[in-house]
Amino acid sequence: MIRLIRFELIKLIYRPRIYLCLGLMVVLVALIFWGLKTEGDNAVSYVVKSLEKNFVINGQVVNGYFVTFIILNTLWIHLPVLIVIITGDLFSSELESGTIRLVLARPVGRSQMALSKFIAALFFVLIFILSWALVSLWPALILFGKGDLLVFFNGVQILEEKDLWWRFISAFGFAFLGMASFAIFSVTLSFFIRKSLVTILISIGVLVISTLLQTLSTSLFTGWQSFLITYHLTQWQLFFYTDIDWSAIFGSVIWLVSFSGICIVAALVRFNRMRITE
Amino acid sequence: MVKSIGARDLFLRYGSQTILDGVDISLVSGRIGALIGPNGAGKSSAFRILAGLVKPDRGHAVADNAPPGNFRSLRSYCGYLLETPDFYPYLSGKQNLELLRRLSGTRTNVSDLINLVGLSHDSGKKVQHYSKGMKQRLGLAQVLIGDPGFLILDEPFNGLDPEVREQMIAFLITLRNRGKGILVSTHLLGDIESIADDFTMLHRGKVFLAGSMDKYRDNRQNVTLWFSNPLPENLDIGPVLTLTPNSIRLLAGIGETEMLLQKLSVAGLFPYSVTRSGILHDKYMEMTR
Repeated sequence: MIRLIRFELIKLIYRPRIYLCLGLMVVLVALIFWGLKTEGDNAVSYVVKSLEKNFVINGQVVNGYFVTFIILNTLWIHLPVLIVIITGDLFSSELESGTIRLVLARPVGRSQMALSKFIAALFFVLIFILSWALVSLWPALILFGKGDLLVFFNGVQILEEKDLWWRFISAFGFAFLGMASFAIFSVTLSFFIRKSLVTILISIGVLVISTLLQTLSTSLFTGWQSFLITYHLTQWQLFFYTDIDWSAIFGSVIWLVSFSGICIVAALVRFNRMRITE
Repeated sequence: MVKSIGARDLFLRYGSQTILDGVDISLVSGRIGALIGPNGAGKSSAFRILAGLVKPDRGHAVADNAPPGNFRSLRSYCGYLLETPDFYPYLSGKQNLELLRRLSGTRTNVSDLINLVGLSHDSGKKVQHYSKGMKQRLGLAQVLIGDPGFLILDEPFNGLDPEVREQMIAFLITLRNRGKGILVSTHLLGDIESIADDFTMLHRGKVFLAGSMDKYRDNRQNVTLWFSNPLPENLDIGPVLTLTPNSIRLLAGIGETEMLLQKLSVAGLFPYSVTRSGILHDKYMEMTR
């Protein structure tokens, strides 16, 4: 099993598209930096002005923490797309290219091979999220400075600077869980669909439709949102409430872990029954 | 050490179509076996089963006299070349082999294998820039990772130019002489006939004929003799299939052909060319008729 995981990780590291995805993520973050650096104060000024009628505001509202929060809030739908470009064809590309025969003709078990694909996907997501956290938070604090965080959820939430690090770490940790679940879903799809491009497109389609339904659910499908993966992907926001709803967070954690487990079992069953005829 | 492996009573269906029906296949150490048949005969399916890629509806693997097992158990004895091999295109030939060596957990020297198949000048190139022949050679190199006792080669001569094909044939003979058991499927009957010890002919998923090549070597075959000058009209050489002013075609064994050539030389007739159709070729034609 260790040999197979190493095998998958080496292949992953050598794939050019992994660097393309990481590069795109950096570009997206840099664009947000640029936008907030040039127009950030203007963009939030109208909100701040209304607050200034009742409160005295010291320091920068648009500080490094605020920028990182905006990045988290903006990219939660873009990043799964980048992730799925890698994970969506981890298996199907082997089927399409025929390299699966090279692997399966050696003394390796199918379940082990499938599990090593999932572990490689998780490794990629971990690297991706760590890179994301690194290129967001660290440059943001240098470029925009420090301070308390003002967020606008059901009114204004003011979070003290000393209380922010664990919240960001938790938020990125939860983002890892959400993205990992989505990556596992896309890997599972590839066991059923066999075509890389179709797998990637369907994964993105699920993300888009789920987002749309989540938006509509407030008005049309009340109560349905907890069945949508995007609902659970966005639960990292709960870490930025002054009073954290831990039960909602744990509920989402259980949902995402269970969903991932079901996906993995489905992929294992499918793969063990699959005839490699290509 | 295992001396023979194989498959017994293979039965495979895809939907309503029967692909293999009661097929037996054997590989014996130090012998080359040929699996022959037209397209759709079930050769590739049989190879996929032997590699554990496809589970048959019926049938089992055997290794020496051990109890019947599943086909995955054969993988530890075998190296497989399944059709035109595909490698990771973004890696070089050497990186591909190194990766597969690590996966196999062996200490095989990858550079030696690369030299053996004549790819030392191109081993640093990415596989996406390899020709079909180069991939085929790399495929043969990966088969030898871990020095398996048996080699299962599906169409190993595909895409090879004549020179490389000759090298490949010589290489297979060397491997056979080192005690490897080899099973080859190919359409190039002439090539395989010169090196095969045993053969199995498949037709529509069933074994049409199987056995040792020795048994058929003395069989009568189509022999054609070509002459530059017209033959005399009163030539008496016994029954022939066709006789033209410049050629004779007849059925003859090796001994009969030698006697005929002797008889013709006494009469002052010397053919400039003698062609003898292969044993497998004749059987193949008989099977497909």
